Amino acid sequence: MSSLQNPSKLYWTLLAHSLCLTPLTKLIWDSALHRLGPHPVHTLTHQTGFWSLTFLLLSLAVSPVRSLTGFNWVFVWRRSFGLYAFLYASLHLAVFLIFESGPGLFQELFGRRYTLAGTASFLLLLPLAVTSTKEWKRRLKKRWGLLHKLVFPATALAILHFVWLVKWDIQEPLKFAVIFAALLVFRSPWGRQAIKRLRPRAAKTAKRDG
Amino acid sequence: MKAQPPTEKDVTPQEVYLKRRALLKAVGIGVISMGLGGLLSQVKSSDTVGIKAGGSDEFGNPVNPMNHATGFTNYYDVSVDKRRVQELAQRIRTDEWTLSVGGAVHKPITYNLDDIAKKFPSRQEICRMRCVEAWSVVLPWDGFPLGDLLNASEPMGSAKFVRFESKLDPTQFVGQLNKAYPWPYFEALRMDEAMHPLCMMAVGMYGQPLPKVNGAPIRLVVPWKYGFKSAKAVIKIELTEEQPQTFWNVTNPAAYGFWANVNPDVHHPNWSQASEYRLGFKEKIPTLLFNGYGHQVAHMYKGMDLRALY
Repeated sequence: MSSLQNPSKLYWTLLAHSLCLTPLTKLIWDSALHRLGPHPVHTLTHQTGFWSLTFLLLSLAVSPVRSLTGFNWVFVWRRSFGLYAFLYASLHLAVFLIFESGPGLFQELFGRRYTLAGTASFLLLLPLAVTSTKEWKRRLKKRWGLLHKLVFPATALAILHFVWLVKWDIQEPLKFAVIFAALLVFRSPWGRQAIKRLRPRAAKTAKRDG
Repeated sequence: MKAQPPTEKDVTPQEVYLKRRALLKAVGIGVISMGLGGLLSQVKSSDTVGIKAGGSDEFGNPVNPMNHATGFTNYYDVSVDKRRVQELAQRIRTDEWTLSVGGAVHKPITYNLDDIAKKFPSRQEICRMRCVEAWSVVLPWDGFPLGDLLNASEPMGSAKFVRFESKLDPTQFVGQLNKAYPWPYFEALRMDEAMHPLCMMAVGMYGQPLPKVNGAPIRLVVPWKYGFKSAKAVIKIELTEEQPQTFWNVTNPAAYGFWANVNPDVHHPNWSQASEYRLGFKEKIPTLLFNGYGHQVAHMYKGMDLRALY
């Protein structure tokens, strides 16, 4: 609501959301113009998967960024990034269900390790998306934070899903794995110590708020 | 069971088609080679409404537009990223190329490209190419039977296998800087496979010299096996008595065997091989045993357990 009272903030918010929706807009645009390339289903699958993982990592980066910089306003983006990750993951799954549908669908969803990891990751994200509202946060109290720790196994499974589907070269999934590992290090006791030393005041502020 | 009816966008009016062909010839693949490069290749590869080559395979599957072949290629010697292969492949130099045929032969010969063009006249063959990644494409190759090339060197009776080696030069093939792989690329066939009339050396496609991204100046084409068997940019062919090792088998033996015959019942550890996407289509089609060439090649594998010898 505060963004409505502050026009400049509203513009920035709208701009940021437009950026988050740009990959989707581009896919719809390219789809309408038959510009998805020689293998349209591959493009749709890869792009939606890529952006889902990217937004998952962005949502995980919010807390460390706040601790490091002391900018509390970044915190509202944790939820948005998480929901965008879920949006792209849903589209990713939808593309799979639409184009892979057939007699072997069940086998394809659960019978192969890469799809099993992907499906599991999606099922873990589902309750997080449902309980992302303030209402649910209030209702679940302390359990809300515990529940939302599921984002860590969900991200790990999503990266594993990527590792298991490539032919052999794991360069691209490895980039996501490295960033994920770095974000986990930030959260470790060692990482928290380092942040405290780097920005003693910011860390204190973050601790008080969190 | 979904067939592939030609869709609206597959029909190109004759005059448009002729104009496009004329334009293509005028502009030439040279422009791309000279590397207006990145941008042009981006546009081409992202546009499925491409230049039609016309024609179809023996099942009536239409030949794919050329930009499918050039814009969606696995060529790890150049890059593992399909989106960058076309641009990076332009560093490949095909002049002063030689191809040697040696090993267990009575007459080892080293050819240059002119020798090959003179001695082995090309003809067009429309073939399906099935990638191990469960997509496929119908291509009009220009080439000649590998058997003609081997016979010219008079194979010894002891020759049982044929080994192919691709050019090694990381300054041109920048993917070879990636030390995760055992460069140079090497592949192999059993003698009877190599002598099969379907097995050919391609020097062109779509009536033009082979594009750099598709393995210029000369490559192997084995239509009933997964695409990785069809080595690109070949410089050396050797006849051997022992079964040679192959690039992907060395890299990941659990997933890639020596034989690599297209088989809908033998799956990749990570994904199904039962069906495939034909480039340009959004529906999966069933994969055929030996990529649909079974009536011509199945006899070579009689008595072989195709599950064990994948």
